Amino acid sequence: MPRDRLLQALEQRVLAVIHGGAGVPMPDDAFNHLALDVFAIQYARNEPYRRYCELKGAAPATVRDWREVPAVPTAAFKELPLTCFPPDDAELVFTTSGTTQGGRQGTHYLASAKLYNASLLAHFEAALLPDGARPPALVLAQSPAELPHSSLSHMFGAIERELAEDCAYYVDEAGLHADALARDLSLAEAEAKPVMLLGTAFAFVHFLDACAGRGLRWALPKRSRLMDTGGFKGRSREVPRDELYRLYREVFGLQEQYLVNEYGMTELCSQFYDATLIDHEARRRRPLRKLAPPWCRVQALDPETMRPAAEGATGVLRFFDLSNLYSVAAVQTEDLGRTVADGFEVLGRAQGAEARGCSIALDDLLLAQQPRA
Amino acid sequence: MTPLDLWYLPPGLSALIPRPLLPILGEGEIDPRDPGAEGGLRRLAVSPELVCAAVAALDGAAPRLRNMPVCEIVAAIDRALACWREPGDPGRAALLEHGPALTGYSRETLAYAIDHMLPEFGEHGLRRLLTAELGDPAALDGFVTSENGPRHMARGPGRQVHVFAGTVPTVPVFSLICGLLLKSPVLAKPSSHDPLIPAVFAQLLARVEPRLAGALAVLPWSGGDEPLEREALAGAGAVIVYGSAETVATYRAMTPATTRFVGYGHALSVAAIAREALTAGAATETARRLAWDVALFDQRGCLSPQFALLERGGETAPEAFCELLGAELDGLRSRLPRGPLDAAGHARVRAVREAVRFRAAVEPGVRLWESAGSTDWTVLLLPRLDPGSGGEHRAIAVVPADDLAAALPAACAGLSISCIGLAATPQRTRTLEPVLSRLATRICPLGRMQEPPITWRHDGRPNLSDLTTWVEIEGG
Repeated sequence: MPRDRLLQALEQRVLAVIHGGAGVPMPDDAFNHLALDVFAIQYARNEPYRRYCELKGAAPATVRDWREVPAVPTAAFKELPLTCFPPDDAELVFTTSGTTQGGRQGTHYLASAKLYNASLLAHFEAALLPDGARPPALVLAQSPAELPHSSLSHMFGAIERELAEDCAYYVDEAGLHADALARDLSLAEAEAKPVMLLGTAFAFVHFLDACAGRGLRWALPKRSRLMDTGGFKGRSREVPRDELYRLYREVFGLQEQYLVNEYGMTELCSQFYDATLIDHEARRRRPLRKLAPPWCRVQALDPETMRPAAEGATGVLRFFDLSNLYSVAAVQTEDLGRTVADGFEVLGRAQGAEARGCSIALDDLLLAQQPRA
Repeated sequence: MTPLDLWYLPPGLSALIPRPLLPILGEGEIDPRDPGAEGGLRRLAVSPELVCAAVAALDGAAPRLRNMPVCEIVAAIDRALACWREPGDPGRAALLEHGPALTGYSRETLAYAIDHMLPEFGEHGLRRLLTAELGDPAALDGFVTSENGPRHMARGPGRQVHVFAGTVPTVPVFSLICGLLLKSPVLAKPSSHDPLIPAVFAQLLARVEPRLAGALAVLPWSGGDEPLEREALAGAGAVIVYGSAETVATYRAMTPATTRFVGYGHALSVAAIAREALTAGAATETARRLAWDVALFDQRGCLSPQFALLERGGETAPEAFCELLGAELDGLRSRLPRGPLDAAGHARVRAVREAVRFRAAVEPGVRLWESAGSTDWTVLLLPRLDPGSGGEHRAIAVVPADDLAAALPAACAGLSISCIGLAATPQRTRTLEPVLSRLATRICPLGRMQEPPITWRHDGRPNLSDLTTWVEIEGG
């Protein structure tokens, strides 16, 4: 942790919110107060961010509402270290996969593993384990030992240490170990012990394809659950979400209420989860939506004007994440979505939507020239 | 309102049109998938049987088309295009009313194409094209005397299949015209990004010249429907495909080996501005020309500039030029508005802008000019070309360079370049010629990039003579 006392004091304040619980909403004025304090210190300590704010004509002295705080585009993390501390002192360094815009990797330097872990564990526990269960985790992703700079693998490592009775990884450099996973699923079925399947949607598709080829299916014990994340852009096979959920039900024997999709990105320390399991546990029926934890707020902005979109209207998603304390809290994504009641929906990445005919987006050609990450 | 069919079938096939037209649609109902369009649009679910029947009808019409003198075909095309320019013409009304929602171009852009670009494909232009490529156009009707060879005649390839991409509106029209000039019946597959223009053109032509009513079929099927595409390609004399490298390769693989195949794959174009075009007196005009090339067809065509190289050392510095360019693009917002964008399109522009805005704060030489409160236009001043440098929806990157002769080959390396729009003195153009000739197949004055002459050889290949077969009679 950096020796900066002001940052340390702010970390304590953010941690207090996190320890207050992911299910406890933060009053607007309390969020705003903390958000502006975070903005003030980021403006003071993060020099590239300050220059960006100056270009946008915003400063702590003039900003009164967290919604007016300049948001850095996710692409900014590709340009240079965006930190409030010397990047060499980072306890965690996460990089993006580099397959998106620019072909270059974005890097997020984090000063405090304690803050990061507290944030991710609190929200994961609320969204995936609201019943207090601690099922073993079957992870369809690489372990943090193999991918130390993957925020997703780090998350699974933290869950393994703190929230899962047991944990196994079924993906490594060699690929997906479908046989081992199939065997362990059968074991769980035989022992009638609920499990927690975690992984990338892409890996699940891969496994489901393998199962279909061999006619494999299970009736996993009740209260077994599944969390998937990510899309399949540029991958071999795209599966619509409805189809994927149907397969989860049919092949794993999971109930719809126990399927939770995660939305997250390297540039944000907070993650977002479908409210399905929370709603189920609270015995209420609500529309499908993703929830942000109390220490992070989301806006959808009309992409034509960049003014706030009305509730339910499509916009580009922007987050103010207090757990991004050591980098930049306000982050502008390239993802389309809309706010719904107490949460939001993600509609997808705003790219590749246009017909180019015999013309081609410059990006596609420039990217094609570069070796794939 | 008169219902508008987003297809065209040769006469006699109406009994084969499935009813209702689409499972979700009755005749004349509003198409719920096109919220921006008014009611009255009708879509057709195309089956392999329908394609098969259309192909048979086209083959049946072939002899009549062969016997029609080419000058009469030219005259009919001329009349159809003239009709399109008439204020009360239903084809014009359909295009201007439904065009923005269906093609993504503004009404003004579509009107410009009909009124100022399509006339180039009228009688005068087509005669020039035929003469340039075939010598005596009458060679398409029968044997003609040749100055230095035997009497000869030109035979078209027979029935053609055209697969269109949603590029600029003039492309499918010109493609169909070229088919007709060679007396080829054409089965056309419009792009889902422009389901309108090929159908409206075929309807228009049938109206003005009943003898051509059986010469075209426009059927919107979804690419990748293999049984259907086999029906479409079987027995075709030529297959012409516009689209991505992948699309071109797919159709090439499906096309029988004996059938002529022409694929127009992806390409882009570049603007190059020499320092002589940046004198205090010339800079505004140069900016105006670049703005026009960017704005017309919203950078969707292969002739659209995706970035501009700007030579340093002129009287106007890069920043000042970008300022001028922004002002010119802003002036075009009302005269030639950009087409409507969906949320994803706007978001792409925003993503490019925000990424460059951040770079502008931390990197020297990066700056951004943009339309206020909208995504209408964006000018990016960048020290080098990177992914995320715009190139669509009127977002143009301007990249300063010390010397065009060195910068052009470097910037174009590895890219498939169709056209270079050059702002330079004739003298400078001459010195650049050896460099230019290796980079692109078309070099034109800046401001004319979107409007090539009718004799332009697309991708460097002739449009008609590549598909003709010559028959010669020696001693005849």
